[in-house]
Amino acid sequence: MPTIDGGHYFITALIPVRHDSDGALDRATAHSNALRDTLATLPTALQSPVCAPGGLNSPFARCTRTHFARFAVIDQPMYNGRDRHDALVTASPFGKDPTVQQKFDTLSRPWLLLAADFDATQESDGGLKSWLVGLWTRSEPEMRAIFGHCYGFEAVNDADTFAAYVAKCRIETTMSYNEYWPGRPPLTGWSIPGALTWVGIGALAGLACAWWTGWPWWGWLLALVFGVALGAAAAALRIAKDGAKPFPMAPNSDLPGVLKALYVQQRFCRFVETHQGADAETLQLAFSVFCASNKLNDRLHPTQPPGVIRSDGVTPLAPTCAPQRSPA
Amino acid sequence: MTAPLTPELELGDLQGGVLSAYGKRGYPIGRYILFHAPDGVAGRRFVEALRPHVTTARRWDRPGKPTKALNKQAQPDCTLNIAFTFWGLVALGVPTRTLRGLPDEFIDGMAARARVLGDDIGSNCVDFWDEVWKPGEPGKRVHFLVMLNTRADDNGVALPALAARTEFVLNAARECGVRLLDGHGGPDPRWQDLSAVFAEYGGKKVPTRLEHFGFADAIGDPVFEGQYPDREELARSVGQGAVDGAGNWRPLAPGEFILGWPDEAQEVAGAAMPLDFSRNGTFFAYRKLHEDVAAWDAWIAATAARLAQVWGISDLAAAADLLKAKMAGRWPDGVPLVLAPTPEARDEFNRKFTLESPEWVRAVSNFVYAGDPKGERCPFGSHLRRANPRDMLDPLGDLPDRNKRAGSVLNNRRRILRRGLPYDDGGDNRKGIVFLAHCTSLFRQFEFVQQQWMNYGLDFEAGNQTCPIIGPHGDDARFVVPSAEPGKPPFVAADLKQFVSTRGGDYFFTPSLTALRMIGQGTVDPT
Repeated sequence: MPTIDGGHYFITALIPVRHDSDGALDRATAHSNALRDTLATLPTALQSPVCAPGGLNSPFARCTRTHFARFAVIDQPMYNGRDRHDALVTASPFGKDPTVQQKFDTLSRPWLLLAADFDATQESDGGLKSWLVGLWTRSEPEMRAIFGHCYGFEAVNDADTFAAYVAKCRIETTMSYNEYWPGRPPLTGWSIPGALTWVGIGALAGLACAWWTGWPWWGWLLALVFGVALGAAAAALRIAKDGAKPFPMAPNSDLPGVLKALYVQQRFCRFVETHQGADAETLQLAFSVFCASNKLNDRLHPTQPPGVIRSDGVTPLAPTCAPQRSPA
Repeated sequence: MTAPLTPELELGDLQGGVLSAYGKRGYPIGRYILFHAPDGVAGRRFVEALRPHVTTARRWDRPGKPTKALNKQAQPDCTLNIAFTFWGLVALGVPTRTLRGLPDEFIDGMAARARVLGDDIGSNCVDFWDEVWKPGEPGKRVHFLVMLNTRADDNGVALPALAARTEFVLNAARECGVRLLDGHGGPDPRWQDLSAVFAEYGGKKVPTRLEHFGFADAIGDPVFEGQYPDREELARSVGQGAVDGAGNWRPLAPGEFILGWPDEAQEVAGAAMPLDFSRNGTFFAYRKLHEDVAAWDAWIAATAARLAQVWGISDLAAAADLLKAKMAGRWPDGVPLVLAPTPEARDEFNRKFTLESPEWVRAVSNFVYAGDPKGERCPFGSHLRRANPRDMLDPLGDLPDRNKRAGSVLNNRRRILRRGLPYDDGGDNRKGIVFLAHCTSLFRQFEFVQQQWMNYGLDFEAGNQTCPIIGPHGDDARFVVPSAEPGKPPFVAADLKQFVSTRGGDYFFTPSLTALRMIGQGTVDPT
């Protein structure tokens, strides 16, 4: 599961947060605290009935490549306690003294995590730079407010330097996931009999080699062991290579495709509701009007804007009262 | 292979009405009364006054099936059971260390869980609840629920024992200084009266399974280890327990319904300590659900006409019957669509099994969804699939090799025991059911089913659409009925109204008799 998978680029970046004081001395606080404050007030997308009435959309919704994006502050890893030990080993002369404190891991400073998945492109870097440039161009004030709390951000003064800055902090994404395949993707897996076939071929090749050269019995045995090992190694290499292949992209699973699908889905449901039971002629006429007005082959217009729950004017079912607690 | 040890539930320690519904055991009439204890002494005296009269889960003889003396009790004319809210346990002086072991959702109470339950939407809102359930002054907070269930005579009238028991409970409350909370929505605001829907049969009035929309209810109910005498649960688990990919059924683990027993995760889940306080107890959600029969009938009539037009059905009544069946997943008489997708098949089914006979009752539950992967018989969004998806969420369910399928694994921890009875508060269109959902984790079981399956549609390929019968319905609420006939389009039932709305309720703890003694005596000791 690499950084580019299923047609999407999965960026994971860890950006060091500043250690120095934030602001004037009379209201000094940690950058990590100020950063969390900024993030907490960053609008989320208007994708739930609770968020929608607020009207302020997420800055990520200004881009038509971003599927999901999130920031988080990581300050320290959780300490899981002392290493596991066996009481018998500990009691033996080789055991570690349980009264001696073990070291625990720490991070040097808080880190800002940026994790997002967006449509990859054919560019040589998979579209990373163009996405970051777009992020800066469309939401420079928000990016300044966030990254201003990070180490080395002073060097950023335009879209290119911002892209280079974030790209430098990028680490490999090892666990990527998107779910746009309807049903099972067309993948052929490896089976145990399949892998064993490779081992069998190796064994046969070894034996054939021994027969060809007319070796004594121990030579046959040696060739057999060698052939089996070679076949197993080849199968293992092949499995590892197949495993490293990116997952194929599901049809129309880039953001414009997804948005157009949502747009058409809402209108098509209403179309069916209205026209079900109509005679064939009426239905065909109505459907041709439907296709023409919604331009099914045009992925970009008309379509649903990013970051909203729906686009057909229907008010989603939303809370009309608050949960209540008995007063204490 | 040696047979595994069978859990032997100590029936005399469990309160009655948990293992099986009183309604099914010949008690079609109920009365639920709420109380508030101003202080711990009054509350504990009340518990002690009622405790000797609490009906346990011990059995009485059934026709043709005498009960072992070991587990027997004389059959009462009127049963009595008691349950507590979190604030009730606080008022009774249960120690902090025990209280903090109770689950978050139980501490919150039902009104505070509105966002999870969909009770913050439209006519489910607390403003529409019966006065007694509205969170208000601390002095009116619900602490205790006393539940009376009684038998009926041939006229469908409660036996006199109900009035006598009511009098006894009210007197005990008065003497102990415990306040009766009134403000129920029925003709007598002092309590909630409940009754099965009765029908004339051979000159007698007999209780039916029907609820007020006209569906046979209370058919499916989880079956778990130790629930029935003589390992009856093995046979009963078919269609009601857990199923593996190959179609073999087994009873569920008792810890899904009774605290302190191993559950489906093969562990005894953490519970409020001491264990004696929790063991053999259970939680339940009390939900008074109004059924808008007028809106239901009007919508069914209009939509059935549309269905008849779209699918070319000449008989309007047959179209209405089909529409109801598709929404519920069962024909109004209870026959499931999976086994009988057409009216003819339903009639054939009822010829094969006499309606309501034990064979019929077993047969109407005995099915899986593997044979209906597109919902052509029973729509994905129907109430039945949402309430208990059986094997349909099996991620390997489409594999041809049955032994590789996972069966009901994803569903086994989401089951609830359904108890309660219909009510009729008198007057115009003021009917519904009081629904009690028993389980050991209201959060994992009841709230999950309500939030993810009833009030959301993702697991049923229905997006944001909710249950067509009990879900909240907004402007775009619709229900899609797939068609089994090639070339025939699905039917989209649109403009669903809010047919069912919440009218009150709360989360309760039903303690064991042991825990009830400790609570009443003030001797809960968590150390």
